Amino acid sequence: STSNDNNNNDNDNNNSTAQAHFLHHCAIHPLPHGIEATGGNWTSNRSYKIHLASITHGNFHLIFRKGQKDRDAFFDYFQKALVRRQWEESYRLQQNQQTGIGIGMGSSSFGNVSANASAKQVGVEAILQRNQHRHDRAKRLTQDAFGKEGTKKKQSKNERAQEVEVLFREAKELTGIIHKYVATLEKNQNENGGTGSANAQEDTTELTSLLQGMGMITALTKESASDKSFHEMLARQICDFLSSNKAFKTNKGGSGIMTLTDVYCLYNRARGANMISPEDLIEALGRMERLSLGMKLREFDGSGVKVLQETGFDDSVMAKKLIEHIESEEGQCNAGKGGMGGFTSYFTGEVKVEIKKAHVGLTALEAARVLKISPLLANEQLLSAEQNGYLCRDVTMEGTRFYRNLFVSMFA
Amino acid sequence: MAHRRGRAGIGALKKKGETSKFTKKAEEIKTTSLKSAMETVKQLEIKLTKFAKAHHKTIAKDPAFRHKFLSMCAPLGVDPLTTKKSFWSFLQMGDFYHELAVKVAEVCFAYRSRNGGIMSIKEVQSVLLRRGTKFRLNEVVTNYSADDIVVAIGKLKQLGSGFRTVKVGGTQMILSVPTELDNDHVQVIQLAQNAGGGITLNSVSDMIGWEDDRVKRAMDLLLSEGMAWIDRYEGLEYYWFPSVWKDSFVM
Repeated sequence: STSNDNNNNDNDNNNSTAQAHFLHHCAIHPLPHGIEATGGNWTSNRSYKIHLASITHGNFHLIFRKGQKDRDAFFDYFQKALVRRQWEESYRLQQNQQTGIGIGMGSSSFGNVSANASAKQVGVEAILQRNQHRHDRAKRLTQDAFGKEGTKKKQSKNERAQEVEVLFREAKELTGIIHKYVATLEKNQNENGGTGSANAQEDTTELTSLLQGMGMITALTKESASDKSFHEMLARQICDFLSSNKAFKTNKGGSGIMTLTDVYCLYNRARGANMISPEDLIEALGRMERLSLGMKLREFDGSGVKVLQETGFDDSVMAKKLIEHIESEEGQCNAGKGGMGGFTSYFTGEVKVEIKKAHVGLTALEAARVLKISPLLANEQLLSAEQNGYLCRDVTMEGTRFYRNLFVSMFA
Repeated sequence: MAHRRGRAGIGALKKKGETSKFTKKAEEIKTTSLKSAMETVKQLEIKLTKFAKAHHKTIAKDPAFRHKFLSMCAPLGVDPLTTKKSFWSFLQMGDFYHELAVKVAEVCFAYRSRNGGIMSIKEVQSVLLRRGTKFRLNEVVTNYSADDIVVAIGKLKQLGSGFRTVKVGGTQMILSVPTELDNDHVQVIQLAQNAGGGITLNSVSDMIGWEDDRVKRAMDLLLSEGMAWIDRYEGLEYYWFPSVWKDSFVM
């Protein structure tokens, strides 16, 4: 259509001297003011136009003599092109092309070459030629982008989003059917303890593997035989990996306990690629006890904190360590060291030291230092010690401190 | 007069041993349904494969598209992140999110002493970007969005160290400690956020009309967790929240 030719050129003037200008799309004022559909009124403004506001060349009207449809179609494409800013890519390519052509200020005899070059590069003819090149390129690019059988990578965001919607609708129907069938299958399995004929059972296994191959989550696809062996193997791998870990292994100076998050991060980092999922980790660690690997998964009541700990790990051992620390601190205080149990009188400025058996309380942070584990785990140990009656807590405005549980010894 | 009993109905059939016919029919129906179910599954697989092949580059490059794709899969009961061998494995999305999860966890741990275990997603993102962290996904370097981080946090949740997201005002924050924060705490943090990172106890009561005790209780927990830092200056006590202080200065 005639309107396409207006892509890069201005409208034809009705003046005697025809002029050609090249107006690059980047010179158009940003949308929405840059281009505007106007005209089509019954009285003054009969023809359908596009008003174009440019930064470099002022204002234009593109007049579409074939009517509204033409104008609208072009407006649509034009707008899309202005949004996509394809020239930012093609401009770079053009730069490379131009350096190939050269402006002629080359090595050979200066006079002739430059004269020739300037003759070629300057002048109306040259401009028109360049315009035509650019026009042809733009046309080709547009066709690629909006052509039906064009390469998928030129799809616009909207088109891609639409494809997602389409897939979703179609897939929803299909998955609905599948889930319904799977539900009846599971029901039958529960009722009969089997699906009946041998063939049916075979088919069910095939269906299960098909579903699994698609990543569909159903009760059927939960744990297959191959998964079981995968998780067992993973359990052994993690065990081997941690056996040389100094923070974990007690025989290497470690604490014997580690949060799952730490295990996850350490192990996956070491793995580098094909990382395991948290689900895999939990499955694998859950099997360790059964496989007698020397460590097991444990979840603390209350907080839900999950850890991996050595089988020899004992909360009461930790509690005893804490009490030992508390007692040694108390000992130090009673010997006169430290400032515990003393106070300054604000009125007289005297310092009185009361010889009292000072009671030292532990915070989670201090406990962490004593036990050489993270504050999170130390807190769990304090709580566990409290549960078992070794310690009791004192909650003040400055935080929670744990003390030796004297109630037990007092009323023993 | 009672009608003849036991003539018709399933009871009669059972008596007469006719149930075998129905069992057989049931089996037949089951097998045909199985066949049609498998057909449906194969159909679905074709559709998904076509889509995945056409769009795997976009999934790698465009976080918004990736997010849309994942949210489409969820209600279908399809998990493209599964580590079990599935045809999604070639997308390597699982790898991407698991690696992202590890990196996010590491950033949270590194900054915990500073912010007490609460950190805005934006801040985590900017830390990773500053470090120049890249991920492998289809062997194409990607950019990752806040949505991606949220998915990664969702994965970390299961590990039981308390990873979760919480909304403070308009900002999404990541919690990496199991401490329970109730609405009061969140509101206090939000007030601090609005005030640019630091508030006094009085300003809290002024702004939302709580009693002093209530304010103190909330603030004490935040203090003890290390999420708030107390600054005693010229007789006034200011409470600073590094997690939102940083946020309001992030460009």
